Amino acid sequence: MLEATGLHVSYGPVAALAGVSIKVAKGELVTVIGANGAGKSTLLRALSGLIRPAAGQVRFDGKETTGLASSVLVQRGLAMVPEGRHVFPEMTVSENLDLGAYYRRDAAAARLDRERVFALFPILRDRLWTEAGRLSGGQQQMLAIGRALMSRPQLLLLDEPSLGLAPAIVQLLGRILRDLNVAGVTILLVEQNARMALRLADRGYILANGRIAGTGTGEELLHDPAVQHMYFGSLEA
Amino acid sequence: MIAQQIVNGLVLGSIYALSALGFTLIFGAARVVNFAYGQLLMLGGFATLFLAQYAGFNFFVALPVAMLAMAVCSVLIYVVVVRPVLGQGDLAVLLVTTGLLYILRDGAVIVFGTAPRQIDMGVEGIVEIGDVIVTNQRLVVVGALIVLVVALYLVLYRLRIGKALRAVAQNRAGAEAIGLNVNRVTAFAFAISGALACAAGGLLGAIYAAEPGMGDLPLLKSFVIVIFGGLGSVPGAIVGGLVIGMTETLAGSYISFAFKDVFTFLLLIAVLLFRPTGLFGGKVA
Ligand SMILES: Nc1ncnc2c1ncn2[C@@H]1O[C@H](COP(=O)(O)OP(=O)(O)OP(=O)(O)O)[C@@H](O)[C@H]1O
Ligand SMILES: [Mg+2]
Repeated sequence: MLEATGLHVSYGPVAALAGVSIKVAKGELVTVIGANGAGKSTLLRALSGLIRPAAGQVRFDGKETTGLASSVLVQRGLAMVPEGRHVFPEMTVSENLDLGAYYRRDAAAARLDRERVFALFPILRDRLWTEAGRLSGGQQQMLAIGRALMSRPQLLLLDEPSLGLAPAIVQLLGRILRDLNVAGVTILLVEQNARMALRLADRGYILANGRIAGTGTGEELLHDPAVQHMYFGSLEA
Repeated sequence: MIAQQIVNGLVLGSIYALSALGFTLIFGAARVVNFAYGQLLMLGGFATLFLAQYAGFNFFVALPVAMLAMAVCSVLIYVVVVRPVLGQGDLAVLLVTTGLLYILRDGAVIVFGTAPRQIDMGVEGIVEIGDVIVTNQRLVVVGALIVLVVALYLVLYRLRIGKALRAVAQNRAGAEAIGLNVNRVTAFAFAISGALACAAGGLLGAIYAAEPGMGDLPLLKSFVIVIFGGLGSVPGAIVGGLVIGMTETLAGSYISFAFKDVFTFLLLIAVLLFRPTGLFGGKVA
């Protein structure tokens, strides 16, 4: 479904990605974990057309998509939930969801998808006419995911959805991502919360200093001594 | 007497509000301060003048046609002058738009000369309400503000691209993440901005006169109004424009005409002391 090979991205003299290759097969839930500044957001931005990689190739859904704009990729079925949620604060929940469906011409199907979003996140229906800026952090994250789902993506990219949320909400989000994945949405999840992400994922990559430092199934990485040392201190997984 | 001054203030305030609306929209959508904005207003005044006086159009046809032309002109300014330097910081934008300001104004002096020319609205007569006297021309100005504000709200809240514009203004990163075309939205904001500048210029030219320097004061006033009302805020620009038009007129007739601008700035300082983000601060579109 998604394949990146040898991605290089620099911000001025700072190399943020130095030859990253990852693959996500249809139906998988794949995670990329890494510390602060490892290049996780940069990777997602390069995959979703928000920045153009200096070198390397991205293929999505069987076609080369390197350098295509996010507006094109969204219409081809790739949606992004950015780090920090970035909902539209002075618009209602309803308007935020509508903007997620910006490029859709099938109004009737979009209404059904709206119902699906409400089924996943009932709280969004309850707060439909509330301005997004007045929602709690967890609710904003749900809205950001719902907004992305409104474009009816094949592949959903999520950048640290657990950031700043209470553990109970993180658990809830994890379950919802699992459900979404089971329902057929391929997911690439970027996280600093390695434990949550690895428990959820079929496979994972470890990103460190702009390079892939390891890969394996979620289970393998969860029990990998190096990962345990790096992300969980010396405690158990 | 005071009622008369309030009405006069409302008329001046309407022109200020129109002018500030166009200025605040591109700030909201693109975080661009367009110093050439006053020259769009001036060119709009002359475009209306030529269509009405020399091409023989009725003022109410000439103004919308000129607005369309200035919308196109404003988009050209975005594409040719502003967009190429957008990534290079605020100073670069300030420099190129200021450069354009001088090119357009001095160009207008060469082409049109400096003599002020009034635009004939083709509207005569006055209305008397009690002891308040308003010319019908001035009523047209207030009416134009109402019509254009309604139109602007319809564009921003009903049109797809208008909703995208509000989204970009409220959270650019969010807009990019869901694939909105920020470049196209910014061009659209420039178009609306040019049309509004032209409306202000055409009306100003009919009430006072069109001349190459006519955009300078409105630019400064738009600045003040937009800071007063809240950067990027649409209701802020409307309320701010009306309040400042009113303040100037009242202070000018009751306190001192020579110092009428002082009161505008006193008001601005007072607002900023108590609400540093402006009257409608933080509210965008
Ligand atoms: N716009 C930018 N300009 C300059 N440097 C940047 C920019 N964005 C990121 N960087 C740098 O690139 C590197 C990778 O950043 P990135 O945001 O991709 O990391 P991350 O893994 O997402 O971190 P975090 O966990 O904090 O979100 C960091 O060194 C960061 O300082
Ligand atoms: Mg990040």
